[in-house]
Amino acid sequence: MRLLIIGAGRTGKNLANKLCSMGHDVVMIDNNANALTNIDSEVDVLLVEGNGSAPDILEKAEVAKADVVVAVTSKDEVNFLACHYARCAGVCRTIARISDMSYINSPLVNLERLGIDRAVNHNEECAQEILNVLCLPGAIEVTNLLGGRIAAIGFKLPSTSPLLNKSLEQFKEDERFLNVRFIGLVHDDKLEIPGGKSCFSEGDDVYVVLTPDDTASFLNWVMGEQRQNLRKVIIAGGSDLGLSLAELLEETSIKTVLIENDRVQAEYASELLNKCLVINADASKRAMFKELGTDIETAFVAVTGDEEMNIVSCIQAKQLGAGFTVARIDKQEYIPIIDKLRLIDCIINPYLALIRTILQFVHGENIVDVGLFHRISGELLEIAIKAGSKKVNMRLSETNLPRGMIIAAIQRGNEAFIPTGEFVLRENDRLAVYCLPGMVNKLKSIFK
Amino acid sequence: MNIRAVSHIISYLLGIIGIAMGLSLMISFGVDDSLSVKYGIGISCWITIMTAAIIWLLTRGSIELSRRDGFGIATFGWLTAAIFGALPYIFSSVISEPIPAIFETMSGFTTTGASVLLDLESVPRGILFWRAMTQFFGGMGVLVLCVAILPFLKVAGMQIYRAEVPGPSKDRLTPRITATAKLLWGAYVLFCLIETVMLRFGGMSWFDSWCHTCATMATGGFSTRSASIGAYDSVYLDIVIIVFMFIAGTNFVLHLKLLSGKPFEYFKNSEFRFYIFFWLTACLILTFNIWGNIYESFTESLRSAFFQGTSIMTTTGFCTKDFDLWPGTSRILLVLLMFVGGCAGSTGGGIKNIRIFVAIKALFREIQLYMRPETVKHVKIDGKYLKDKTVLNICVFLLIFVIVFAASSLIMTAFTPDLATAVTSTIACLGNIGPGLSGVGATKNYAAIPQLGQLFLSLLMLLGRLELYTVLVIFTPAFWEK
Repeated sequence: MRLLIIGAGRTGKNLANKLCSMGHDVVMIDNNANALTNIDSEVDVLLVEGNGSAPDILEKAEVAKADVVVAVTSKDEVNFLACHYARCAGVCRTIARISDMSYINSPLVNLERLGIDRAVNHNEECAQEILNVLCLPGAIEVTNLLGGRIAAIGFKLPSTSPLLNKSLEQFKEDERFLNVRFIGLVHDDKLEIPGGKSCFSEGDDVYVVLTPDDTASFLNWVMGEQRQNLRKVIIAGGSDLGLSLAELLEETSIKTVLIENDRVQAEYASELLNKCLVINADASKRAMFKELGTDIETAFVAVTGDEEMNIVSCIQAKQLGAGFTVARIDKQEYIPIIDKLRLIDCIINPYLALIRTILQFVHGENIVDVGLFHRISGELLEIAIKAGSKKVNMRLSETNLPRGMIIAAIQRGNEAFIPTGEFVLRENDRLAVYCLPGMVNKLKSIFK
Repeated sequence: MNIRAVSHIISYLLGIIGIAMGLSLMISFGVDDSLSVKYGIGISCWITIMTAAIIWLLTRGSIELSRRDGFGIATFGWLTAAIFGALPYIFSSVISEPIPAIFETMSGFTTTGASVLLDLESVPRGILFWRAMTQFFGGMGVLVLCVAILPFLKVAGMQIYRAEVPGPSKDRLTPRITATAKLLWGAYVLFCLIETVMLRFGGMSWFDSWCHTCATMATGGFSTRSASIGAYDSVYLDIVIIVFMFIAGTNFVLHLKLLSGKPFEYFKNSEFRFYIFFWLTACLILTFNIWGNIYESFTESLRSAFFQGTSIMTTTGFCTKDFDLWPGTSRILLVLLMFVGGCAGSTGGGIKNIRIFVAIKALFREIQLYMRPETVKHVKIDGKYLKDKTVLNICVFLLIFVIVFAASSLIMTAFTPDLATAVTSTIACLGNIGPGLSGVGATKNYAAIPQLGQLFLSLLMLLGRLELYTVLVIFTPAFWEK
């Protein structure tokens, strides 16, 4: 497939990298020459310098040859226009990133007529992701699979966990484990798919797949103690992402405080929000936390645009007793460093949510990429078993998947469950498969 | 530098060279060379392929290359190619000593065309074929071929491509660098096939046609006759070769646009316009300078001037006439043409037209700025302005080229009898042309130069082919840091 990406910022670059490694041809347009030089030495793509909404530049990038156009510049107007021209040139599918929600919600806007098949707003997707984590105490990452029928969650093993120093084999008879599939284990920075002999130790990151109904009880058991539900959330940063999150939190029973440094933005926030307490102050000030009162039932979410500030204020909140901290970090490179220091409970990269959505759109058809995790590499994919596939009527234990991939869940009709080895595949089943990095293409060829 | 990954890629390059030797071996059997020649090529082929296999086995694993590794691959890859490529000459005793053999091979791979072989008619055909093959692979670049056929290189492919393809800007036409490399090689091979057939019609044998095609399209200049193209004395052959030398000196990206149905791209390209203008002017000056002076008839002057002018400017180095006997103006003009060379993205050497064109524009801008410092003016090419960084890069390239040329001329005076030989052998090797004046003139060759001098000239050829920067970075301490 040939793709045209407009905008070579973080999203564009990450997308290009992902798509290229999946074997697609990628052309990129950006008007920032430095951003392009940076990409040129890292990704094998054709680069065109210029304004992505200018028809002559699009023509130069041979827009008519593209199968999918992805517009991810920071300017909504450029994204709109680029998609519009692409549709005029005959591109079959277009997706645009939109920051201002009024473009999507207003009745004046007809996306279809503009030539945009899908508009994505990363703030909403990301706010939902943070909310999922906040609502599930103990989890550090939550992703929904198979249309929300299955959840993938990640958590860190505390010293109180009954899993410690035991292997999965020892829980073979435990009925709690029947409906849980362990898909990832990070021990000493090494990621593996846990097998029967894998042993758990304190501080490991564990990723499991299970039905949403079981998540709370399983997490409570695995944590070895009752996790406190949150009473209060303090959000630092009242720009788009912070506002979206505050709006979502207003619908729950959790008390919300929003701290915004900029007076004008703070006033705008208070206008928009009803229950939430808005404070115009610097979130890194120590006195502020004391005043607001941070305890084990308080979560601190730092989502300003300044990632260094987010990191520092999260560490401070933790020191002052906050039970759970979430930091927005945009730079992919920072994440492993911060993760290793174990100072922040949950890291959110808003671009990851956006990239995930775009990848889903790009792939469509029978293979859907659904999950990229913040903390572990590798991917979750949804694969439909088509009529005539060799795998039809085969037992799972007979599929002989190579090492590095695991079937996590299966959806048949409207139901989804965690299968056993005796499960027999049928036409139109949807599989959720997790695979380690570099295995995606192999996986695709197996289920072709 | 990532030595493991660099060696791994070089093992593929050696594999390609081994296969090319295998082809020469087949030709050698086909024309029934003497047993020692077949043995010589056979053993070289075996050694090369075994070395490639051993390096490949020892260095397997994932390939991740940084920008500087690309330079490492280009420089060391070409050095390795020159050393292994010299084996057939040595083992078949055509050139018994290693240094002249390396000189001959380096001259082939860098498409210089400077030779130490005295009597070409007595050289076995298998060896002549191998000599042509070195030019064939060196022309479009053996590493570009690697990028074309090894899909796993991905980003690393871009680093290698950048280090080997000549010219200040490296155009790519497709999202994937592999596809661009495939297209370039495809066009190159296509032109080679057309030229071979056209030369065959002019009365050359298939063998000679192919060997001369390799020499023309790669702008190499190795002939199978001691008297070069002059030995055939055919107007038809001269014209065919002039046309194809000109094609080889043009940016191949333009040829690809022609093949994709856009024939007018040629004249939209300012480098091409500059190239054609420069070429016509130089050839006409040559014509009028030798008309009545050396040759009585105008047509003969025209024919020789155009052949020699094209041959030198595109850095091919074929000869039909002994231009050493021409008047001073013509000789100096030919030497100046050696500096110019072909276009960016062509198989030709030299400084390249685009660099000269940009430097001239930059010169005018500086003069204007000197007069009116408040002027705002950019250097523009094809209606688009070049960043000052690019202009500076080009001007510094010119400066380094001149410094390397001056210093090397000085060194070469130690190995040559007269000044003209020292200076022209330097530029003929640095610019990948081949013949120079006086001691290395059209009818002479490099056999008379001492071995140390030949080794030095081999280094100059590599510097010229990889356009200085690629080789010079090897000499910086930062390159070797982990």
